[in-house]
Amino acid sequence: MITAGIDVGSVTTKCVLFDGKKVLGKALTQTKADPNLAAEFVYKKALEENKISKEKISFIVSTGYGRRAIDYGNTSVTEIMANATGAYWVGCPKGEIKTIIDLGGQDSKVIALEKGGHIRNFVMNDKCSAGTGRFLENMANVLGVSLEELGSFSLKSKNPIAINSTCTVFAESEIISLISKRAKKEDIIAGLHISISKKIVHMARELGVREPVFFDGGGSKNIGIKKALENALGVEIYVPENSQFIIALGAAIVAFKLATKQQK
Amino acid sequence: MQVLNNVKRALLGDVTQEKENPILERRYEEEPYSEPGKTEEFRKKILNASMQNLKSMQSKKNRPKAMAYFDKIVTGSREEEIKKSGKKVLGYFCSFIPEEILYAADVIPIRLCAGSFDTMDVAEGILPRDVCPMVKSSFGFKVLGLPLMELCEIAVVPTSCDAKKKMGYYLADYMPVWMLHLPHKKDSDKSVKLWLEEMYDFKDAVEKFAGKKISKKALEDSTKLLRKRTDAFRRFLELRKAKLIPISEKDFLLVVYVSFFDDAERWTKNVSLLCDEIEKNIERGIGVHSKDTIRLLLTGSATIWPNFKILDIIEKAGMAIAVDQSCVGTWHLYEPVEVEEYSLPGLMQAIAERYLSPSICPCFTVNDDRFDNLTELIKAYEVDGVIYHILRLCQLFDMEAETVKKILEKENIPMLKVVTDYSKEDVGQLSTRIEAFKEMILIREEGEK
Ligand code: SF4
Ligand code: SF4
Repeated sequence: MITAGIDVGSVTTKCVLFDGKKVLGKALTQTKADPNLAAEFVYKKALEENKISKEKISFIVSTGYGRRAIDYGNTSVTEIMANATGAYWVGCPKGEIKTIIDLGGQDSKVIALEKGGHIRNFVMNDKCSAGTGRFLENMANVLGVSLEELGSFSLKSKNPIAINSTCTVFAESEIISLISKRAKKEDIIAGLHISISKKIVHMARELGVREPVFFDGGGSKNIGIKKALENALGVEIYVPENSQFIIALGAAIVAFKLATKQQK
Repeated sequence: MQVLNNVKRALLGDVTQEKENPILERRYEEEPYSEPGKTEEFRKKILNASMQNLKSMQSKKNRPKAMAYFDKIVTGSREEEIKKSGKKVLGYFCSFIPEEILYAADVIPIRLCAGSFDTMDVAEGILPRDVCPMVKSSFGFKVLGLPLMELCEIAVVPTSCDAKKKMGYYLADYMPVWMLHLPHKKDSDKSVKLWLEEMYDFKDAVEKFAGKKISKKALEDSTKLLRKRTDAFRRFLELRKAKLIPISEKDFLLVVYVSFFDDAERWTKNVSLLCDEIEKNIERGIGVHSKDTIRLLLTGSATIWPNFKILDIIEKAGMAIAVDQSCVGTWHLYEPVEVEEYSLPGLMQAIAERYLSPSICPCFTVNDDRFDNLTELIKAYEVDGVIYHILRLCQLFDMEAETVKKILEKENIPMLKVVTDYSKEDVGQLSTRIEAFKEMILIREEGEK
């Protein structure tokens, strides 16, 4: 039996195919204006690239902010549930995961797990984009650096500059004035990472940080943020392979569980 | 300034002669900003918001028929009635104003705390940006000259939270405002004494306002009348304990909201009819949610008609609120005035006690009563989780959330804290959180089985 999980995020849409034991395929695209189109695209892409026919898929679960906007899928779960399920399944070398930090495009969240991977509690950022991937994307634009380069840039910094604003608009003008004062790019970028991690640390403290800590979502690929978070929290953080697919994987696992239940 | 002082004298007599003038001064010579030209437009907007709520509420299965009365009152029939009665009308905020004294003087009380998104915009140009939505919304009613605010000749504002304290100041530019001194350490003897004095002053002022003395008999009658209202309300609350939830939170809050401006006797009668119907429904196994629906408790900042945003989201997620802990819900009418001695001082004493010591507003420095009440409600109504609702910029509830969280952890009751306002822009995010909360509760329950 094969199931699919589709995570319709605010920036990217992802699909994972799962057979109960391993990931059979995955695909990613930009969500842009049409979540439905993006979902269909990743789904087909994942199937085609792995030469799996549609008929073989017994259950689809959608998740992410656009989970209701798409036409197909047997049911949907929240990205919080999907994230917890995916992360717990992937696991971490240090033992059973206790805390998940997710940095997505428009949301960032922290989830506390108890034994067995059940959600004990969670916090999500409120409606403003401070402390999310969107924020970083804007700042990368202002600095004329690509999103992917941010991490390696920040590692070069010896004197991170404190960025005081977490609000996107204010941070932008703060950076512009820093550039005009000829501050080093890497110092500004390192400062940005510290500022974003502070937001996340506040959320994490609300729940209490228990190790091992698992870090996923698009932002987790940024080594600068990972370092900043580790410094601020004083713990080591584990970033899995394919960390931006964890939520889609979680949805596919939920789909598998539901399909198994149905068969009984 | 002279003009307004004359108005005050006409309303309250020359209180200045006897003791400190309790009425706030208007701050400026010039007329305050108002938008009377927009009254009609906004009246329609507000009615629309009410209609929209009602439409969705009326479409729900097994909604008690007796709710029709409250639907009718909330959509406007009361305004004309009050005008025709020719009686004096007094507006007030929060849950500390003794309606017993008002009824005894034949004055119509109206609670003015507002939940309308539409009226906030106009207030924003006058009040600072960082003020809670409830105060902005209420203030907007005055600027726009809207009912029922417009019927009130005076507003009484208790010194409860900071937003309310300073709102009095702004409101005083438009109408006479009496700031009622609410002590913030409610358990101290000094506070109790001060509050009792404040109640006597209030009675004096109301007598002047109404142009008639309040006799012992009148106060006894009004106390008994409102006692009946409390009894009916308590019966209503008891019925909410049924296993099969007999009434939605939206309907419950509407019933309480209508009490803010309805005639107390008629309201009581209609709540009794509603209770009769609900009782029968319970006997027949009829409820408004299915048997295994997750039962929640809603606490925190007020959810005032027509701002039912959070309730909409919870309903859509397929959960039910079994009970709330709110000053516009459960605790507005809950406490009875317990009279030991039917003399004027005896009555005044009992009234003063009712409005201070059992109150659980977060404006009190130590508010353990609220926390105790919360755990009692959780047990009595067998709730599976708590939604802690905070209106953005409402510091008091926000600051008490930490304590509540700790207490609930001990009780092993999950809690979700949401910070939001009257606007609709965060509905998507809130839905995700509330749905995730549901998933979390379901998995917990599965684990316990
Ligand atoms: S919680 Fe207290 S201060 Fe706030 S509106 Fe209610 S009674 Fe007033
Ligand atoms: S208690 Fe909170 S919501 Fe109520 S008026 Fe005060 S600040 Fe506003």
